[in-house]
Amino acid sequence: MATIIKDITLQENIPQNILFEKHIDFIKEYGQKENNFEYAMTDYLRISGMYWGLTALELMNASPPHTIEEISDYIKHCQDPESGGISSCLNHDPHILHTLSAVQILCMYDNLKAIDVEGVVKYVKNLQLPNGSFTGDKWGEVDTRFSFCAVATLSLLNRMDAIDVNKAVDFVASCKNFDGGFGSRPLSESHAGLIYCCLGFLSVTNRLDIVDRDKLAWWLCERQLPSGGLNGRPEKLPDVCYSWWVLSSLTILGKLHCIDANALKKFILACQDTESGGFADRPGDIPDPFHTVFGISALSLLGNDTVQKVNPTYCMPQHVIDRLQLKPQILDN
Amino acid sequence: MHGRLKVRTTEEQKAIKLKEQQKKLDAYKHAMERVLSTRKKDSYDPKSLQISSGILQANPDVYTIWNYRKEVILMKVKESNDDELEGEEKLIDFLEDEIKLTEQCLPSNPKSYGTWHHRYWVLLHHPKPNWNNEFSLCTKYLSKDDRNFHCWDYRRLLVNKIGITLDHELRFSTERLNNNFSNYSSWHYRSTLRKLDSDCVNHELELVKSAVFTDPIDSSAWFYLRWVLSNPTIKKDTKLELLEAFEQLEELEPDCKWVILGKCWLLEQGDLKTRLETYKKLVVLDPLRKGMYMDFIRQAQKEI
Amino acid sequence: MDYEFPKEFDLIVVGTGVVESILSAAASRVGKRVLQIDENDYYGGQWASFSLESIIKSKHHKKDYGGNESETNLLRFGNDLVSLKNIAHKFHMTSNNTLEEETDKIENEEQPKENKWTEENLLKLSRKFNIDLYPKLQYARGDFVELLISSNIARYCEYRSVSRILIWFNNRLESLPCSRSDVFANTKVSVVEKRMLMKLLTSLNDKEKHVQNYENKTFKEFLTDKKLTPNLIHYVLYGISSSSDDTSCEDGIEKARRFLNSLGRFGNTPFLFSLYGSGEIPQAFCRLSAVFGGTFALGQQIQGFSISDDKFKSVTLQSQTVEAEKLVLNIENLPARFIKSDKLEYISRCILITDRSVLDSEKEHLSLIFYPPTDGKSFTTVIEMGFLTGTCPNNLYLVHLIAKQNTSPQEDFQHVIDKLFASHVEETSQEKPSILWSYYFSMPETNDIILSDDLPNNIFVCPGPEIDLDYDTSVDKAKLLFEKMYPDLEFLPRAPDPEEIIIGDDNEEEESTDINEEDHDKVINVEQEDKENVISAEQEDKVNVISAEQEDKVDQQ
Repeated sequence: MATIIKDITLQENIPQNILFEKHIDFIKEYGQKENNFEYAMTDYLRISGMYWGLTALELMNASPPHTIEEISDYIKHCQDPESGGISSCLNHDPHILHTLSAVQILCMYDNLKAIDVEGVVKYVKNLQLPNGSFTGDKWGEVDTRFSFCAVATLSLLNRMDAIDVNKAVDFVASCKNFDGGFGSRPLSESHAGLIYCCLGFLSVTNRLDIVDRDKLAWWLCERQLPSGGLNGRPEKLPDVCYSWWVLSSLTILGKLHCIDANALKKFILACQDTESGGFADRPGDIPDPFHTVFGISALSLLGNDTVQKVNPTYCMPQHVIDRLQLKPQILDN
Repeated sequence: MHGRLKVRTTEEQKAIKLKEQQKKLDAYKHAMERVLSTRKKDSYDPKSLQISSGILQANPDVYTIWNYRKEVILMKVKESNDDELEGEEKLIDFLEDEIKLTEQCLPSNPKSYGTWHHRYWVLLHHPKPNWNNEFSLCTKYLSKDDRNFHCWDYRRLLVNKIGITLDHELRFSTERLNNNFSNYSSWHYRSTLRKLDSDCVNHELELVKSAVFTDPIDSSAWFYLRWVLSNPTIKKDTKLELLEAFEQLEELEPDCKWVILGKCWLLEQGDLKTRLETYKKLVVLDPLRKGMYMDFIRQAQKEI
Repeated sequence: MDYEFPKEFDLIVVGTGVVESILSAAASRVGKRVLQIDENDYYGGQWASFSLESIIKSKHHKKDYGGNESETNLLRFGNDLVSLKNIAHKFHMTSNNTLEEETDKIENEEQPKENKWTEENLLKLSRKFNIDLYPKLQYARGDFVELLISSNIARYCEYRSVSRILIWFNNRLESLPCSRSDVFANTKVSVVEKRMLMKLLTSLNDKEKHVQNYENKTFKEFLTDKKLTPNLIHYVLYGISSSSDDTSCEDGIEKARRFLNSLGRFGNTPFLFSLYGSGEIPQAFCRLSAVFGGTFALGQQIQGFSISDDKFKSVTLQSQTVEAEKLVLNIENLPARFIKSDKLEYISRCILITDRSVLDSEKEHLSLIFYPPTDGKSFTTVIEMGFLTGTCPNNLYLVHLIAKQNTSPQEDFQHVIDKLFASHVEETSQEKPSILWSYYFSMPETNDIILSDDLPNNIFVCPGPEIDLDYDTSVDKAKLLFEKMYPDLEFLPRAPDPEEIIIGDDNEEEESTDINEEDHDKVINVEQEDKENVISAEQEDKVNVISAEQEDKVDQQ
């Protein structure tokens, strides 16, 4: 009759630390077996998958399983000469999501010259619509995720001049909801992932002024459940990837202290798979690189100094952002 | 990727599973190879088209294949423009099949961006789209999962296309809430329907009051309440009345942090001492958010 | 019917009411050879459903075949104690005035529709009525529904949810808030009351909680102490718990739990109703019994039965004598000498045919209405059913009133009828329904009848309907009796689907006396053949009880 709070219960015997060796092995082995089912069936996100895995390794101070040349070469072959966009995988179509991932990887290895940068700039520019929004590719799907991808990509390439930033900001502002959060399009429901994208966007474009800071910070910290984990929106189960998206959002807003760091740490550590390595969305589930990078990044934001510092706006190692001399807007505590 | 429980299996079960997976993988690889190798700008291979629908039914996230199908559709559109007699009819038949395909892809993956976008895109190219049908589809998927935001977003697209009245949507929203008020998506939808003004703000307040009192632990309605209370046209008396009701509710539910939080919102311009006490209560009742409550306390203390 | 029965059975069951039919099915199920007979040419006895014509015609008491008891040394079945009393029926409109009235109405531009019903019209539709002597509702998680599922009998009946529950309060009919959604949508209580009600309902529903310190107090006192407002006490005491002011706290909580526990399984209310009338229920058990080899005969002339050495020996039908180890009979059929109680309590009953619902709505409802006790009158339960229940023709309603008898049915229900219905056809107020036909009677309460000590111990007596919405007591009684009769055997284990059963054919007699399912149908009450298919309307509202088990399992995951 009454409401039951949707949550998980943490078991006893949670790992107290990050199981580095296991995670590094997990990621390194992930792409090796060509015939691994999970891996092969997700070629539609291959380059993004690479970004997750390689970023996780970098944050854990581990070297990638391939050389920078090999990785760059693969990415190069995924660039579409006609549009300039980069696809998820060989023979797949270009898309802004994978274009960003590609640029993030090459920035990390300081090897942007491997691709046609102007081509990427042209691609992103052509995806902007008159109302300031961005489509994911030439087929027209609009989403604030793509707004984030656009400005993140261009800022990493130092080519923000290529788009109409004000109009882009107007569009993101139009996606603000009654609860201070953001959705994928105007009037779409607030969702932690999309809030991260919009805040990331506003951080890059230096326009965090449009945010209802207190209201949104409250909505975000209400994501924390009794188990310590964070969910993506009300009445949903906790998931380690939201730990990143909510946490980075709070960091950008200068409100990281509003959640219980210890409880969250406990939850994230519990999501480690002690057998195979890697992080799963929640304790006991199957791990994957996606949740691994977000688990590690979240722990970094929470102050764990055994991993590299991560930048909350870009979800990339801070030292890379520093090298690029980028200073995305972050609100003060 | 989300929500798959790791289960220990015996060696035997593992072997069987591996074999099945290999089969699927081979099928997928061959299908992709066939489709992508026959992809051309001005013509398409019907067999490849057929194979591609199989790929999508198994995995609607392979966006490149949806793109491929869109290319074929555009060729069909061009064809129909050149055929004055039967062009439209043929195109409609073709597009109806395409719509059917998306319908087949939805049940196992109701949250795939690709499927929903493709369906809408097809309808935009349809000479005689049946938008009312789409409404029924939406309603069907909402009744399966009323938190599926893809579906809510789709409904919004349709409402714009058909020109549904505000009244109709308000009634729909009220119906959904009557059915189950523990639904954040329903409250969110309601918030998008109209700007609150002195005419309707009291009705909204009564509605959301009903929800928070019937079940204070359910968080959804509290977010909506906060928004309604922030409306400038709410009278001071109304707020006081609500505050009194919250006092009574607190007696019934002394451990419910939402009630105390609700009081905070109503006390914002109120007595400082009371506010500080309320914040301190929250620290005890809701320790996870202690950081935020300490901010409130610090801010209030600055006023002294 | 001139069947020649086998000379011997394991069990003879006289009567086709619910309890004895359950026993018949249970006995057949475990392999006993059962003969079930009824002097009536219909199933159900006091549990039966009737067409309009037959309920008017039926005398509702035992047939008399003549003959002298002492002559034959047989004990005659039946007694006068346990029969319906105070039977009165009336058509409330006259047939001749109608045409004039209709013309008048048309001249005055009023709707003639309300007066289109005449006695002739109604009787013409006689077969479309399935009028229960005692209508029953089933709790969605009650013992009866569980039995239906576990014994696989659910296949024999179709169900509809009771779609709304109303309660008389503040001089009007109001919706009874019982679920969270109801409470939310209710406009009659304050927000604080909503919380109080939800809290109480949640705690009442919590089986873990035990109530201390209220052993000798009433439920009403308990609710008052919980600081519930009078509004809420009214809803909870009379509505959710169907109690009276003097109901004990323990009973009140039990009844409330019973109600709340069944919420949400099939629809918004806790209740189901068997389509085509409650008379379907005893038939369903008879059908199950037949599937497992039970032999049936309706309209069977019975001379009497014999006892020897303090034990039941045989039953004599028209000319044949059939022996059995045990005899089960409905209390209606028990000879008076074995009944010790001389005074009975009664249930007042009233059945109405009306032309519209007591509370108009967009769709047709199956309504349960609670009318709390007032001014010395008992708690009255009202069930209003329409066309979609398969119990009456389109555009009409069948209304059943049930209460513990105080004085007489007419007096007991007058106050309710005055409030809910317009009294004469001429007085058609647009809001209240008009009564087209009424039927009053008193039904004895037979559950606690004391039987005499010299009743042979192989005779088992089944009570008639108990004043309760559901069949719980009846099921309990059946289980109790079965335990006495066959202590080591299982009571109605899950039956396989009939298609899987092969009934051995007895080729000894020319006419097969092992009636299989097809033949069995011929014995069925003729009225059944005229049942309309109301299923086409609003299929979604019909309830699939069989799959309920699976659904519950899914919910728990």
